[in-house]
Amino acid sequence: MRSLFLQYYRDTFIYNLVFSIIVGFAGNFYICFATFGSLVSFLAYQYHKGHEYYFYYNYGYTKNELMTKTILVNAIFAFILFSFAQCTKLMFKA
Amino acid sequence: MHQVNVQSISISQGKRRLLENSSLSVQTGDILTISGVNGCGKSTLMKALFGTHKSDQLKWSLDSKPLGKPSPKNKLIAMLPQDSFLPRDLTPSEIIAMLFKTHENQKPLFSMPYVADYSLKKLSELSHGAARYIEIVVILHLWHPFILLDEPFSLLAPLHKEAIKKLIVEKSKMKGIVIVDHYAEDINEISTNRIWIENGKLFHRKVAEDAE
Repeated sequence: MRSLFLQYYRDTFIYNLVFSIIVGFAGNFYICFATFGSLVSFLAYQYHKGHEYYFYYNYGYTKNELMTKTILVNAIFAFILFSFAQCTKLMFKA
Repeated sequence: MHQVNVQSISISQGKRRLLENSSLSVQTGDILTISGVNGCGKSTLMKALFGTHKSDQLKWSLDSKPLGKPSPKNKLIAMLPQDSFLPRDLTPSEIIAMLFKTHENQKPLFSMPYVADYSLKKLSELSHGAARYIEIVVILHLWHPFILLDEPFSLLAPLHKEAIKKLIVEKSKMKGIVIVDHYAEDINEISTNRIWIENGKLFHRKVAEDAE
């Protein structure tokens, strides 16, 4: 059974991932994913699925709460991914 | 038994003042219908009470205790907005399981007419009317003591309408329900109180007064 927050996170994750991969070619994927990519994903979600916020409101979530949690999870996710990539690099160098 | 008493509310939309220093009251057992011409502020009033539109001024209380700023976090009011709000990539079964955690709480929803027939199809695969029907059923089964329904009858098939009317009457025994709709014959049939919005003011009418 999926939680409400996971549903929101999954919906914004797709926008963030696509945007961060594109930015990743020119800059840093991890930093973008944890910061600017999250903001872009909120804008894209608002544009495409903004009316679905009422699904979360009716359960007692506010927009701020959903966004704060998402940024936090994205930052942790980016950090884990970055650490994993660095470890893999070191292993191959050794 | 609960009562929400809005002593005073003023709302604007941009630079336009929609409601000026108006009052209303809803209690458990009420089915309050709000009517008025397009753009008079019916939906904005609902959003202001739900907490998704900032009111210019609001003084309100629950059971005579003053309430603070409206917010979905209060879990006092649930709202059916005009636009469809449930994720369309989920099935009614998945949505019900997310919102109602126990089997006991889920059971009344599945025992509603047509819900079991639609439960395994994604909302995007259902007709607009069937998806709207699911949304209203879900909202009316939430635990909040007050429910706001913005245009619940638009797009509904006649059989769905009848089932929803029955459910609204049944749920009004435990909740206060406020409805905005253009389908006068549908809402007049079930309403206990009526409000008319005109020139930024609310005009109240008891249904018994209309009958006289």
